[in-house]
Amino acid sequence: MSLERFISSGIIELYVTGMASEAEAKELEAAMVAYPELEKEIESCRRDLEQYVSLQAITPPPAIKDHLLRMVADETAKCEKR
Amino acid sequence: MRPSLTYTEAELVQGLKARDEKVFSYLYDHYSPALYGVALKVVNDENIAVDALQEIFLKIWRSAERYDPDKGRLFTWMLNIARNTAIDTLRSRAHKLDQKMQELSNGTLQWEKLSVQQSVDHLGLSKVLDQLNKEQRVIIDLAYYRGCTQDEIAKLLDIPLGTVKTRMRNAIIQLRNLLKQV
Repeated sequence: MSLERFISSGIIELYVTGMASEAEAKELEAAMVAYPELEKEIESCRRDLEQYVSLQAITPPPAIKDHLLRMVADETAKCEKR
Repeated sequence: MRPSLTYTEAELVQGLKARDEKVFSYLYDHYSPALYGVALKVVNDENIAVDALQEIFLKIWRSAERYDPDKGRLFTWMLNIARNTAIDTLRSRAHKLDQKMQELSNGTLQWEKLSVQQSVDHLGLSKVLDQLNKEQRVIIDLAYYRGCTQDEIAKLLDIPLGTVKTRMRNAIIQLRNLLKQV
């Protein structure tokens, strides 16, 4: 498949949303090696999708952070004891 | 919007892999709203999303050494962990619920109703979402947030597989055009 065909086939959109089949993903990943522009196009599409996701950011309840930091500190302490 | 970065991406990665708690705290401050947004969209319940968010950050902390910068940005990696963890939470809950329902009625659990309800607290977001039609939002959300396959989406929406592909492509093209205007 040519670069243009890849771009117009819709496979990039399926790939970045996690909806590409295994065969489609493999085909695209192989093509990325042949066409570096394809990789750029995929990354650009991914960034846009991530921007859409970021627009839906919501601040979590504040108590979670302290709880997590304590858990992480406990784990570190346990590792150091060993 | 985002406070100016005091760490470069490489420093963040290095700090995370070295189990630097300050870096972890920084990552939490900067990325927890985006990751919590993902968890909420997937599980559609605040209590479950809070549990999922803790699980997500513990996974980020515990599996830091598995992150490979050659395979994508740190944010992409964290988003994938968030999405997969939340989807797993949802599936295991649905499974448990399903078992309970079967015990009770010996019936099958219906696929939960699709919700496109948003907590729109962002001007840019409402502008984008208003201009994406419901059909386009549903298909992006089913794929990205619910982890549905093409077949599952075709069955759920009762449309041919080919239509799933073209609809997804058009939805993403429309989304990308809209994002250029934000």
